[in-house]
Amino acid sequence: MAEDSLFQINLVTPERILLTGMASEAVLRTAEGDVTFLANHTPLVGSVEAGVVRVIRPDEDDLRVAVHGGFVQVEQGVVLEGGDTDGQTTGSRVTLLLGVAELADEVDVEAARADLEAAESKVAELTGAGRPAGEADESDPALAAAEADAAWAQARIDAVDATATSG
Amino acid sequence: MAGGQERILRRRIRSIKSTQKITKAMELIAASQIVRAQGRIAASRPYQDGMARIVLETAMGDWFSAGRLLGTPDDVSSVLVLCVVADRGLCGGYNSNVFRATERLLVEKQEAGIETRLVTVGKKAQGYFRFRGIEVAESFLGMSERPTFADARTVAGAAVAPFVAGEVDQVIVVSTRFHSAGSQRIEVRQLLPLADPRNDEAKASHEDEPGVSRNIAPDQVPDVKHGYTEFEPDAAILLQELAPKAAETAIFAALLEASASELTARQRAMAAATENAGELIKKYSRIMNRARQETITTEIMEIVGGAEALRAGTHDDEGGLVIQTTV
Repeated sequence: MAEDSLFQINLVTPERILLTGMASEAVLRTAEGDVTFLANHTPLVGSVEAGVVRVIRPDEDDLRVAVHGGFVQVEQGVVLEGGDTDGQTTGSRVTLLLGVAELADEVDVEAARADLEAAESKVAELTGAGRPAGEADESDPALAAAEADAAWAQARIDAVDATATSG
Repeated sequence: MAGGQERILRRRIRSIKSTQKITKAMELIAASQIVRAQGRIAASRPYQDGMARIVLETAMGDWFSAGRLLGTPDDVSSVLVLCVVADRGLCGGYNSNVFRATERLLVEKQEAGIETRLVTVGKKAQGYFRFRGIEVAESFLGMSERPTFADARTVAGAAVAPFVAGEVDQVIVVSTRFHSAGSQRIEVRQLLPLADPRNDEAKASHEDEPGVSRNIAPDQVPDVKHGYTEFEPDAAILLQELAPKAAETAIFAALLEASASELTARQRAMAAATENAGELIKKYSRIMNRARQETITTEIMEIVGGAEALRAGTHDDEGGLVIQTTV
């Protein structure tokens, strides 16, 4: 694969580097919709929504990561360091800062399903308490937390499910 | 009578010896944990660096609307102080140094007519501030030795949320920074608003960007330009989302560094305690040996004295008891 069609991707959590290496495509969801990053994308800073991030790599299987929100930064013409850069020294780099994230292989599906159920019943309980759905969004932090939990559980399940069907 | 003092000393030495074993064990445990704690600091750096770069980029993108999120506020009416100490003692001056710095800061702010609110991490802080009659808004326990990011989030919930909600104008952290195994320093620094990256942009772009560093010749360093970046969503909105996250990251870093500092302080304190115990053992052994020798001498003197008395009381030729005194 031609050199300039690759970029360095770093998936970083506060406690460790989840992934660093060269990729040809990265698919994720930002606040304004789904985006696919290719090499030489315009510099960008954005927020990442809870869901599945897919990384397409030249010689390896696609990688799926369940994320619980975070930020993404795309940089151009930076010096690439650390990880396997295939001998490339400068190029574009996509960095994802993820507060909480799990590689698809590491997800405990049973636990995720249980979490999802718990979170959904919590959401149902909070929205069912006499308030029309959607209106309670900002007024109730507990509801927002429960919805975030549900999204995170769903993301973990999705990451694994798609892995299973594609592999 | 005889040997009484000796027995007491022997018991005391035995007790010091077992204390020494405990302090030695604590020293070794702390030493082994320092390595892990340092590893955790190193592992968290990429995230911190990445966060610093994103904040810089976003702040450069739209610093007009950053408002109260960046820079040092001029007009502060209330401040939240986050004090990070250990759950356990036995670590020398580690805790009390942080307490002193915190108290000084609180007094300083109160004298300036600024309302203060205190949030603490570490069990030791609870007792200290309760004793001093200083009100603690919220305190967190059980995370000082091995803080996780989830812990940092919990703390951020109490320390950052009031700032976001506009209840306080400034959040300040008092904690111990871990510079190296040989140097830890108490630091009082502003957590929120975020430090204005424009002020030290030149510095930041050389220190915080792992891309611009060591093993690459200066002429190969690409010219990183700011201001051509897209934002999704808008930089202003993004900054509002970023600020709490960046604060969370900074709290996590503070917790990690505090835990490494605590372990180092504990190792040093325990090494000193072990050494001191060794000295005490030496000193008491010496006293004990002298006491034992004295007892023996006294006993011999008594026997000799008794024998002499016996001999004096009988005829010389009948005496069957002859003692050679060489003492």
